[in-house]
Amino acid sequence: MPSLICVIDDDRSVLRALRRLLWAEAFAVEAFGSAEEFLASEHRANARCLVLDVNLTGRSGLELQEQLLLTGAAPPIVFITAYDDRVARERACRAGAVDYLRKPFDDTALLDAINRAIRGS
Amino acid sequence: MMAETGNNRVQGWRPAATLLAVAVAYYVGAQLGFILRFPPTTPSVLWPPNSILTATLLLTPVRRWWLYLLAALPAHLAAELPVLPPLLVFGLFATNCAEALVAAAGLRWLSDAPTRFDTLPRMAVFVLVGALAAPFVSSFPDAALVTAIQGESYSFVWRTRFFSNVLASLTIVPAVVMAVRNGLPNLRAAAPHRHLEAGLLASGLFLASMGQFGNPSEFGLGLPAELSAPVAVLLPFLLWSAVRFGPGGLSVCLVATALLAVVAGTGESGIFVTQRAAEAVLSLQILLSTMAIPLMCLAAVIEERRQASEALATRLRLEEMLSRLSAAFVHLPSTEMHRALDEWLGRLGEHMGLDCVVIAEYSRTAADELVVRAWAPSEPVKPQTVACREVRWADDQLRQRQTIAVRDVGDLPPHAHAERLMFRLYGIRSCIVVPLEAGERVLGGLAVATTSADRALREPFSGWLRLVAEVFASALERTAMEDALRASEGMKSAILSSLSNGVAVLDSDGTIVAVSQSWTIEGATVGSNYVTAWRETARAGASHGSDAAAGIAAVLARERDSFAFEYTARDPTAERWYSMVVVPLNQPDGGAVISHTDVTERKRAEVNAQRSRQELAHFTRVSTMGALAASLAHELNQPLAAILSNAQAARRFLDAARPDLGEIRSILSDIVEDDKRAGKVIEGLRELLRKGETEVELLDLNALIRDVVKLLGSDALIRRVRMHLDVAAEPLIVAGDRIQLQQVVLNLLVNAMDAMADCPTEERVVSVQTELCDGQTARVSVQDAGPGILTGQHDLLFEPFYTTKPTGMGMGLSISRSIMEAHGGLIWATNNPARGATFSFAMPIRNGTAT
Repeated sequence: MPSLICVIDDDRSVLRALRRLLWAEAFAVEAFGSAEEFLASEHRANARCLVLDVNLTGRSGLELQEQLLLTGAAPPIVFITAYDDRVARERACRAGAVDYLRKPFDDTALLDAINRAIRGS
Repeated sequence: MMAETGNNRVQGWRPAATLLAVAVAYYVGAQLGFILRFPPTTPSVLWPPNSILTATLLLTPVRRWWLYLLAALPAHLAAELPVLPPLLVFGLFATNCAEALVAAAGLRWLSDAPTRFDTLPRMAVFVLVGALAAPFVSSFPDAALVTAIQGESYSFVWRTRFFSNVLASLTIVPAVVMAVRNGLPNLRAAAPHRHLEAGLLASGLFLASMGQFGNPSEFGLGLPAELSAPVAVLLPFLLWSAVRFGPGGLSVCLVATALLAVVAGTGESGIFVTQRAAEAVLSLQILLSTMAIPLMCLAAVIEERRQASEALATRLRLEEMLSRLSAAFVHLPSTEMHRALDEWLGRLGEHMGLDCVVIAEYSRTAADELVVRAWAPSEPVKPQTVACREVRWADDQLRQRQTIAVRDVGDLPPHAHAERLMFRLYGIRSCIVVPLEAGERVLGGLAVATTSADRALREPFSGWLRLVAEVFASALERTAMEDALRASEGMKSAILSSLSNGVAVLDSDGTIVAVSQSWTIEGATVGSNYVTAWRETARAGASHGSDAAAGIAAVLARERDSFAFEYTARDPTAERWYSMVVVPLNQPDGGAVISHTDVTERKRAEVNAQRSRQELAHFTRVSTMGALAASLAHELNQPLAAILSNAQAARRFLDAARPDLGEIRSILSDIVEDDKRAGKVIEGLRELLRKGETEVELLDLNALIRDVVKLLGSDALIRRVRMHLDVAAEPLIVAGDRIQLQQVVLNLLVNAMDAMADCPTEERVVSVQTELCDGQTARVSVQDAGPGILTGQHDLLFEPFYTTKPTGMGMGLSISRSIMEAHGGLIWATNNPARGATFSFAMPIRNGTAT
């Protein structure tokens, strides 16, 4: 059974592209436009890895990470962002993020990070 | 007589001298009368004293009559007491006085001018009352007295006395009265041929009289019987005197003839006079009296005619003078006016026999001064300035438009001190002053004066003088108007020549009628048509020529209140800018005034200012963009990330054994979309960073704001700011430069987000609202929830270099304000009731659709 990867990004186009990429690598993929959508879905418990955009409309990626850590059910998180913010990166890494990728990123970098996440967990 | 012709210094003893003269004349007359009588009879054949008394009473005021009668008493007593008993002497004095009183009172009562004998009615009254009635009445008591006291024949005495007094009255009274009234100066002033004529007349008359009465042998033979023939010899001489010398001359001749006749009639016989001689003298008296009456009337008639024709001649002379005066002044240029005035003052004076002619003009520069030009014989006219207060009485009279007629210095009112002093100083006897009137205004006065009493100015003359004054007044008025006109013309040309910009005056057809010195428009000189000139430039290819011609024509046709126009013209070295303003000429005939100004310097300054403003705006845009660089990177990285991931996914799909072509196709179309998206971001960026000229177009503010909000979407996201956009339902079409307006909105939104940097995330909301106010104005408000504007800083917000940000330059709001002003809009800021501030701008709505 393929590992379930949940991708959360408010950019529809990015979301679609990532879903295709992961799908081509035979991952099970669920895509969400916002943190709220993810939290509301049944897949939050089954996710082996989260590909999470930092700058989300509504609850941000970092806030979601914080919340998941608080509930104790936090899957490994690969952060992606179109805006390189040192403060955000350090905060994400301190909180245990697997990786922090700057858009646009190479497919191998993303897949590496996801594989590390799945192996590590 | 002496007193009448004496000058003013002798006034003090004048009455006394008159009294003495009367007494002396009475005494001499009485002595003469005594000589001419036939003792023992009492009455004289020619008794002058009564006539002297009558003449005196006619010449003196009634209230003084008693004085003169009293003065005659000593003379009467001195003459008669040695000859007659005292009782009779006093009685005779009473009858003499009675006769003089009856004659004088009767004449004063019945005659309009008792001292004049120049008309038939006056002469008739004199003859009837003075010469006949008075002796007639007074002879009854006189004869009664003489009869009672001396015992003489009543009828003889009455008859002798009556006729002697009639003869004396007829001859002596007119002679004395006229001599006193007209005086000796008349004789002195007469021409030599008149003296010669008078001499001839006197000698002729003397010879004729002597021939008639002087021969004693013939005298005895019978005057009474053959009286008519010899007397006829005298008649031509008496007629001569009546015709040529008037009543005065005639009366003198009659006195002389009567004296000669009576002396001749009485002298020969001496004291041994016979009854027959007395009869002869009586006949002579009757003869002379009856001859004198018609002759006197004839003289009066002739005098009347002479005076009438003289008056007519005078009037003609005056009329002629007036018409020559009017002709001289009617077309006189104002520069010649005062010279002509001076000349005509002299001519008036000489022709009218005046001693002084004065024209006094109220000064045009000082209201309380008179410019006086006075003419006197052989004295040049010299203008002098006199303060009005120095001649206050005359000044008041003139200002009240009163004619001043002074017959004698005594006519002046008591408070006219200055005027009286002048009369004394210049020896003026009579004077007439008429006001110079022009419409409602009094320009001054015209005065004429004489220095001798016999040429006293009469009332009719002042009427004529008023006509002269009218001519002078209208001439002076015209001079004043022409001077004013010349001054205004001078002012106008001075104004035109001192204008720095080129000014031309057009008539209603557009023809140039006047230009200022600085008017240098080629081909547009005085006389040429300016509208046509512009049309020709249009025909020659200048695009603005027809606009200018139409604008000027519209102002000339009163279709427009004004026309302003700017155009460029290329001179050999550089392009120059001109501003032309056309305003209507405010006069009945229409026309316009063109003002040309070289505005090249202003234009250059404007262009420079515009360029600096644009550069500054660009600079602030660039710096704003710098601040937004990270979020712009975010905006660009999203599509780039999607493209990369899609492309790499596609490669993986192609590596599969059976590639899913449908999926690859949709990947490709996503890539195309994302590429376009990235291109748009870059395009928008480039647009904002463009450094372009201002381009005004019609655009929809709603769309423009949506674009800016979208552009700032990433920034808002990164800053964790929520943007709330509430646009008006209808498009808000405005005319403006897209980049500049975007800059304003961008600036307000970035400021709003900056203001909330320290606020909790959930409070970071920017509300953008657009709305249409009152159907004509579009309003955009950007509301934040930051700390708001500090008290007292509202005014500073839009000043350059005002900033609250550590890295801000303080130019954003200042530039926004200048952009808004350039768009005919406003920008302002207020604090919100709860918290934060709202920045708003408003600008006029246009009709049309966005381009």
